[in-house]
Amino acid sequence: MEYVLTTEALTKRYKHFSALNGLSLHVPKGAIYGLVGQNGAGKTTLIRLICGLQKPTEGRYTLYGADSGGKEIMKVRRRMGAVVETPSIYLDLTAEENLKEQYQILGRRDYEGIGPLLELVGLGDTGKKKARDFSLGMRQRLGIAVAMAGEPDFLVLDEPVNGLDPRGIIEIRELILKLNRERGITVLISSHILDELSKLATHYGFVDRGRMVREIAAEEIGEGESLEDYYMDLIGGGQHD
Amino acid sequence: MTELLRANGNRMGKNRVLWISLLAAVALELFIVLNGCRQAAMDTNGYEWSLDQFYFDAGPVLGLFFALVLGMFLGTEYSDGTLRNKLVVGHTRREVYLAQLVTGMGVAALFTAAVFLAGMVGIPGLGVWKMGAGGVALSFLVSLGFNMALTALFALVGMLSEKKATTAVTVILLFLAMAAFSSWLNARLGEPELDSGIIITAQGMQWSDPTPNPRYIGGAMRTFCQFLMETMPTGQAILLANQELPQPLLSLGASVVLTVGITLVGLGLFEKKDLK
Repeated sequence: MEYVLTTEALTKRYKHFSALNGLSLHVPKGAIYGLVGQNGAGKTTLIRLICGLQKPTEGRYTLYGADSGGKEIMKVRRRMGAVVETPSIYLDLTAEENLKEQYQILGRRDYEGIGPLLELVGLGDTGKKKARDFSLGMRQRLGIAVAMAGEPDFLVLDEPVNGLDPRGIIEIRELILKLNRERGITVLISSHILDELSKLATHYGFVDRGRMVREIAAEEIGEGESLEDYYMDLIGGGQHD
Repeated sequence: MTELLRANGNRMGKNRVLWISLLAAVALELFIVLNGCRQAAMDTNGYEWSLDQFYFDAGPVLGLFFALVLGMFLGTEYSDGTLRNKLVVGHTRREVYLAQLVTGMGVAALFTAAVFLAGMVGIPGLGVWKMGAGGVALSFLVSLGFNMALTALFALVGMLSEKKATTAVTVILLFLAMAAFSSWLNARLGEPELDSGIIITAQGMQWSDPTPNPRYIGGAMRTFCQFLMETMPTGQAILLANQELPQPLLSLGASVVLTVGITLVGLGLFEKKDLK
C-alpha cells in the first residue's frame, strides 16, 4: 500500500509537558483519514509538525517518501495544502485577493484557476466583500480554497467544522467528499466530532495522550456499531482494547 | 524568495496605513521646509539661510512612520495566521524572514526617498544645498543606512512577536525610547564644559570666575557617548538634522554592521521558534 504520510515514534515536548509521545501513523494514498481524539490528545500538535510549523523533539516523518530531516521535503511540501486550527486568510482582503496572494507565494503567474476554485468552494459571488465580513463557514471555505491554490494532492484539515452551524458542516463535508472522490485528493482530517467524521472517513487513527492507540479502516467498525461506541470502548478499555 | 517578495509587495501596495503614513511623512517634510522658506523671506537681518538647515529635520521622526507600517504589516501575518501558508508550501524560515525584512527595507527606502524629494520644494525659497550634490548624496546614503538598521530591528520584533497589537506597540515604543535617549544624550553632549560665572541677583548681574559644569561629560565617557550618537540610528538622525555628523562613513558602516547583526540574531531565533 502506498502511503502519503507516515510518522515514526514522533515526539514533541514543550517546557512543561509532552504533547506527542512516540506517535506512529500511516495515511494511505487516496484515503480520507480521520484523526480521532479528545481535546489535548495531540492532534493539532501532530499537524503542526507535519506542516513544518514546529520541529519534532524525537522521531521522524515522511511525506511522499521524503524524510522530514532532509532537504527534499521542502519541494514535496508543494504537493500539500493545510488548514491548521483556523483558516489562514488575510481578513482585509477579498476572497479573490487572498487567492492571488497565495498564487504569488506559490510562484504561479496565471490567475485563471482562481475563479473556478472560488466556485468550487462556493465563494464565487463574494465580489469585493472583505474576508473579515465573511461568516465562519465562508472563512473556513476560503481557508480550504487557499490550501487548494497549489493544486495539492494531500490536504490536511484541522478541526474544519469547529464552530460551524449545521448547514456549514454539511457544506464542508460535501466539499471534502468532492475533493476526494472527483480529484483523488488524500485528506487528513482531525476532529473530535465523531458523528461527522463517521460520514467522511475511510480510515481512522485514534489518538490518546500523544500516542496512536489504533489505526483501522472504516470497514473494521462493525455494522450496528457507531464510531462513538468503538472509540469509547477503545479508550475506555472495552471490547476493542 | 522572489515569490514571497512579489506577494509581499502586492499586499503592501494595498496597505492603507502605508499610504497614509507616507503622506503624513511627506507633509511633515513640506511643512518644515516651507516654514524655513517663510522664515527666510521674513528675515530682515541679512542672515544667510540655507536649505541644509531644514532639509534633514524630519529624519529623527521618520522612523516612527514606518515603525507603524511595519508593525501592522508584520503583525498581520501572525494574527491572520498567514505565515503558515508560506511555510506549509515549502518556503524555508530563512526565506520567509528575509522576505519580510527586504519588504520592510523597501518601505524604509520609499519613505527616505519620498522625504528627500519632497524637501526639494524648498529650493526656490532657500536655494540649493550648501553641502553640494555630493554632500546630499552621502547624507541620503546615511539616512538610508540608519533607516535600514531600524527596519532590521522592527523586523526582529515583528517576526518573533505573535500578537499584532503587541508588535505594533512594541516597535513604536522601541523607536520612541531610542529617539528619546538619543535626544537626551545629544543634549548632555551639548552642555558646556564651564558654567559662565554670570550670576543674576536683585542688584543686577554679577560676574565670577567660570566654574566646572557638573552636567558636562568629559574624557573617555565623552568619547564613548559621541561614538554612541554617531552609530545609533536615532543618534545619526539627530546629528544629520543638526548638520553635525562628523564621520558619515563611520555612521554608514555602523548601520551596516547593526543591520547584519540584528538580522542574524533574528534569523537564529525565528528558525527555532515553535509556530502555531
